[in-house]
Amino acid sequence: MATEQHTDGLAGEWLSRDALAQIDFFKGSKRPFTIKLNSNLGVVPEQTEPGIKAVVKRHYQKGDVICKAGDFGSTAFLLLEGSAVASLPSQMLPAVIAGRSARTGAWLRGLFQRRSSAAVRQAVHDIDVGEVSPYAVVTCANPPQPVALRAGDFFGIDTCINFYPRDLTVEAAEPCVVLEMLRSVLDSIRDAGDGGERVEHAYRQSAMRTQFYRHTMFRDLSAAEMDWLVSQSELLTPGSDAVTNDTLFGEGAEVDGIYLLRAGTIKLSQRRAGGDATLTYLGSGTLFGLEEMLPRQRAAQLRLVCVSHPQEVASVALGTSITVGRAQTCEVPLVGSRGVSRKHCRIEQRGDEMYLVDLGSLNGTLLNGELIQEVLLTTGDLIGVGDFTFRIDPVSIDPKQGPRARLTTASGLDSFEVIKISSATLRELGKSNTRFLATASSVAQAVDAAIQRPAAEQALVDEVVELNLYNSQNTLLIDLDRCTRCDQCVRACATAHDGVARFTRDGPRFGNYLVTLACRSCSDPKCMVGCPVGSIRRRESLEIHIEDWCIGCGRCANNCPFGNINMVELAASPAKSPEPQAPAWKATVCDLCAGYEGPSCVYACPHDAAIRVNPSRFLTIGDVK
Amino acid sequence: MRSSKDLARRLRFDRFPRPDAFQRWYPIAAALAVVAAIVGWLFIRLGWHERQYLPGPVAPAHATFGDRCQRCHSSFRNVADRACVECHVARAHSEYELEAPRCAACHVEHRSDAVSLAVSNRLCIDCHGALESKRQPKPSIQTSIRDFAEHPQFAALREGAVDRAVLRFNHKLHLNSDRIAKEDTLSCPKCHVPEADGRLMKPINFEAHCKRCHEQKPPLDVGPIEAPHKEPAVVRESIAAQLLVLAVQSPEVIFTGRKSTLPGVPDREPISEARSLRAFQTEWLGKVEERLYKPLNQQAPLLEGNKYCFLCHDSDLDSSPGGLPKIRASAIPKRWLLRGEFSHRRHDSVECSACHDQIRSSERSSDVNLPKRELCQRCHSNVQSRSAGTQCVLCHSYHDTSRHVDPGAPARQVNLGVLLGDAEK
Amino acid sequence: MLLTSDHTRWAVATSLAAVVAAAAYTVYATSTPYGPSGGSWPGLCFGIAGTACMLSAVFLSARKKFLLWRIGSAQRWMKLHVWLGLLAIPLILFHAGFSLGGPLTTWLMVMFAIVSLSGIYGLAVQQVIPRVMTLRVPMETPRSQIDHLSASLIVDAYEQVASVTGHLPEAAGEQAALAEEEKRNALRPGDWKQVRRLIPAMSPAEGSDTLRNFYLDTIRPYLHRKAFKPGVPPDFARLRFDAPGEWRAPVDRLAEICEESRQLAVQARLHSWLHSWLLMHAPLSFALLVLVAVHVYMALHY
Repeated sequence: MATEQHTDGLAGEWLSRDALAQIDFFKGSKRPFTIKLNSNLGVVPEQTEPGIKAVVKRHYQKGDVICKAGDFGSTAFLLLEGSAVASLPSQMLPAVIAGRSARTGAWLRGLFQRRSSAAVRQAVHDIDVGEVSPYAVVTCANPPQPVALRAGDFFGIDTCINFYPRDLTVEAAEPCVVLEMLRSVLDSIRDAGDGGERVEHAYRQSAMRTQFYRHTMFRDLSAAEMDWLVSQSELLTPGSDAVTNDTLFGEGAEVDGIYLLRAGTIKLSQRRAGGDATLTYLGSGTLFGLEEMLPRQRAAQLRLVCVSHPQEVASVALGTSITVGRAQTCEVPLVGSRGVSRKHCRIEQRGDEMYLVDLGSLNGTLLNGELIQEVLLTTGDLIGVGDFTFRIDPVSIDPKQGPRARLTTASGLDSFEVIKISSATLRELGKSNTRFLATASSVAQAVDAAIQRPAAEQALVDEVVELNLYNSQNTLLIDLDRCTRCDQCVRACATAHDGVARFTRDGPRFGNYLVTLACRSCSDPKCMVGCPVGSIRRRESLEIHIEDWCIGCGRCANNCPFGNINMVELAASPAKSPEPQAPAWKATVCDLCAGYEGPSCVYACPHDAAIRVNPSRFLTIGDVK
Repeated sequence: MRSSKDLARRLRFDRFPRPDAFQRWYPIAAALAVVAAIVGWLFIRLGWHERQYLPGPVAPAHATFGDRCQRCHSSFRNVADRACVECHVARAHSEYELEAPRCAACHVEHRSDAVSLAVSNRLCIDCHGALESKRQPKPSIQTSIRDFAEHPQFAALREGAVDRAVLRFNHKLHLNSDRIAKEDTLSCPKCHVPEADGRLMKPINFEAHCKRCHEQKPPLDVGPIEAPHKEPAVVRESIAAQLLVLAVQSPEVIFTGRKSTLPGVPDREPISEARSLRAFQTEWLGKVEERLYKPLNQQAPLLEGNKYCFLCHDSDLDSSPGGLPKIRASAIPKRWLLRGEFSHRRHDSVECSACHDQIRSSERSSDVNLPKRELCQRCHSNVQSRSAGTQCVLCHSYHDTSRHVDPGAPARQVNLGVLLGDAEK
Repeated sequence: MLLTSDHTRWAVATSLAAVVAAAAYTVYATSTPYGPSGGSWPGLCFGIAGTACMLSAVFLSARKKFLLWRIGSAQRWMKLHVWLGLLAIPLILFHAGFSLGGPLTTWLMVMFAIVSLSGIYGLAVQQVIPRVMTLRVPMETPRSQIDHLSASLIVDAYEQVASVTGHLPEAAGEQAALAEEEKRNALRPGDWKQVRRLIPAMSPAEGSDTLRNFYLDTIRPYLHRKAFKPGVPPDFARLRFDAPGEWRAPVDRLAEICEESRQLAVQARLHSWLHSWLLMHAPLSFALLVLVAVHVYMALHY
């Protein structure tokens, strides 16, 4: 299992550089597989056993659990000798914060419940802005047969790559020798030519397989069909060829498949008059890209397309009334054009019908070549405004008619992993899978509901996105009406962490709440990407730790989009190095007071102002100002 | 909106939250406040010394103790009776009392003098409201008394109670008689004078109050003889002595003359026939005593032949021939209210007759002319808006002064040495 | 602590306790022969109960010293503090029998009155000022950062001006601060917490005298004013009118800096309102406890 001694790296048998070079994967690598040591911990020559071990050899007996699904761990394993079995558990419970007993947890939940009683009452209007896996129960209705692992196989790499909890439980099938390594070592292997590709491939296969098995839509597939599906599908990440600019598909693009979100957050947006409107966020485990197949109830699905200047003027959907003109305030601004008045004309929605109204323009508005004042629009009409010509296009809504076009744009908000299943593959599978349509329509309806969301709810969604709260799992919010600014929370934090406060009581506001500069335990932690020594990681649970072998490079602090990681100057430790040294730096981050019962900041707040919540679930429309 | 990252960038990162201005002031203010409080206390100490701890003023009588709290108080204990008894005389309450309370239980100090001495009725009612005694015989007093309104009639006035004084005195006669009046007006204060402490009346004294009218001088041929107001034996000796003096001063009374037969010799009786001095004494003593001890004849006019001893006193009539009469002791009660105190001086703004209302018609000495309880309650009542008070301690002292202690002794006996702190030195 | 519906139970319990105590006191005061006193056993009971309330209220500050002990959340302690503290007032008055007694007890009562009144005042202030601060100071920051932020606002303003006018010899302090900041940043790993600074113009832009003068005459003195003085922020209307379009960004930023500076002063002022009462409340309550101990000792002694 993972580390018990956090100050000395991993626990286990140390391997010298020469010994490592014997192992297949490490042969081609040019990078050293030892941790660069923090200067305040002293430098140890590579050939002798270092103070901190990044790669260790461990021995397991038959039946020993090597790693468990649901843990974070942040380490990867390589099976050297013997064999093991990897199984997907039928249920994976939410990750918890270390050191918290169940009772305290219940009390804490009670606290939140009371606080958000208003939110509970408004449950009807609750918006599910993304489901985040570590807090959700993940079930697998039809777990597959355990997979046998042989010598030379990697396992447990998923948590190093996407920072989600481990998917698989691995047990030793016979006495075996395992190499455990930190994420930074795995990164080195992935960077190195040949071995890296094998690791990547293994990961993609395993990831897709796991995800398919977890989704109800694919539960009826046989093992053979599943294997075929995995081979036909594609795992997309921000770096994939099929993804441009974090966008999976654009509005109006042809529908060529469906998507299953494995990790990260996907935003569905629609071009509207006045800019893009975010419709919803999708969290891991969601299937999307199906909603276009749903029969639409809404009458008007028209689109205003500029035929004369398609490069300069984007097409817009005609949802509500829009104004065309030279002024910046118009929904369709025609800047720097001649013959266009400030406010030229308006397209109004009256009931289910759209009307074109001239707003007293100098040069008048033309419909199909005729000057008009007010007229009913139909599909195919051509509108002339000065030099510009627009056409009213229908939005394809019937799946049986013509080529299907995407209603929304899907783009990843952070790094993500999405499995794309092409239409061809689906069609093939659909012959045997009857559940497909039912699942498809329920997912599509959720998106459709989001499209018709009231403005107030839209504001909540926008605010949540603006503050990047959608992927926060545990945010310290402070109710500013209650807070007397006594700083007890900060003091408690500093006391709990050897005199170094791990957060600052400042930050942006969300209505009456202060979103503090405390680690949000993102479901997609950017800070963990690229740590050269793998010292920033999740151990077995949700909170993020920065281990003692941090070398103080400051990369995590820079990567954190919220400025929640601070670098602290440490006095040189005289015990480890005799000669005086310059003060060393070390990164610090909120660890949710692991080891204590509950976060100290909340516990120490005398005014009931500090709360720790999953903001996207806690905040309600009432909080938006 | 200002982004989280931008905000974080601007802030100075503090390893430990830096104290803001308020927190920097806090220790100073804390120290100042504590110092101010302590200085305030010390200031009080300076002015009042140990008296700072007084919960209230002590009784003026105790004020001389000053700061010497230990005079009465011992550490972590209630004030012990011992401290009081050092100066004050300890007096028991009643033999029936089961457990004597501490002095301080009734005498609350550190309030004011009034509270210290004016013991509340409640404390009395605690027991006397429902009196129980395990001792035999049970006390004869009323067992439930919660108020002066429930007070029983005074013992001297209860049914069948009479003045058992063995003396005849007619108040009516003395206060109304013309004969007396024409010479001099008799009023109550002529005879009844309060004691120095103003409480009881002084005892009636024959010499002072009666003698002027009731002279004990039987009219005799031989000359004036006065009987002293004493026992018959003393009277006899006194009269005998007076007779002798009389005989010597005027021998002719004894020696009556006879014509002398010889020239130049005064006429005289022959000595042998002359009556002896003793015979004279005996003869006249008999005559005087007969007068003095003549039984009272109620029919005879007053003051005629009746006006000596047995006008007032009774005899046992057991006079053997030649023997002396035995006069019964008069037994006038010294005080009527055995358990209660009464001060005549306190009440001297009222006429005597206002309380002793029957006195002008009282003919017999067996009449008890004490005012009744109801009469007291006219003023001492809870009902009246301006009551004279119904506190038990107005009349009754918890400490028994009536029976066990000489009424002549001062009520408060104070050891002045202790008072002035000599004992401490 | 904001009084919300969460406090209903506490409020009811406290009022009940107070009513019961008042009833007990009435019975005791009318039945006792010489009037109520602290020394009688009912008086002593009130005294003990009142002191217990005060002690439990004082435990809050002890709780604040041991932030990590899981001995009930601070919020519960605060409720205990508020409500038992309020309950202590009638209890102590009943103990004293509504009289001051001797010199020491009078002094104790004076201090108790100050402590209670300041506490009630503090509670009242906490109902209002946090909301006011939330409304009026959107650019709020921790109080301990205000000094630092005010200093950096001064530098920020100079940076904006210098990007148009070039270095100004009048603002030597700001230049030194910038140099100092650069030196400090060099020692730091990565670009953590590094604000990218605008490069000062090589030579003054054309017509930049307006900005320069406005900065030196109005903005700079405003930013350098004493803390706690919100004052009247400079009026940028004229400058906006005069300034060419390319200055829009620095002028807007300067206006924002002045506004932030003003808000920080408002915050500092509100903050002191919100907390200054505690300077009296907390230390005096300790002093009170010390003297209560003296009082208890002496009352038992005698």
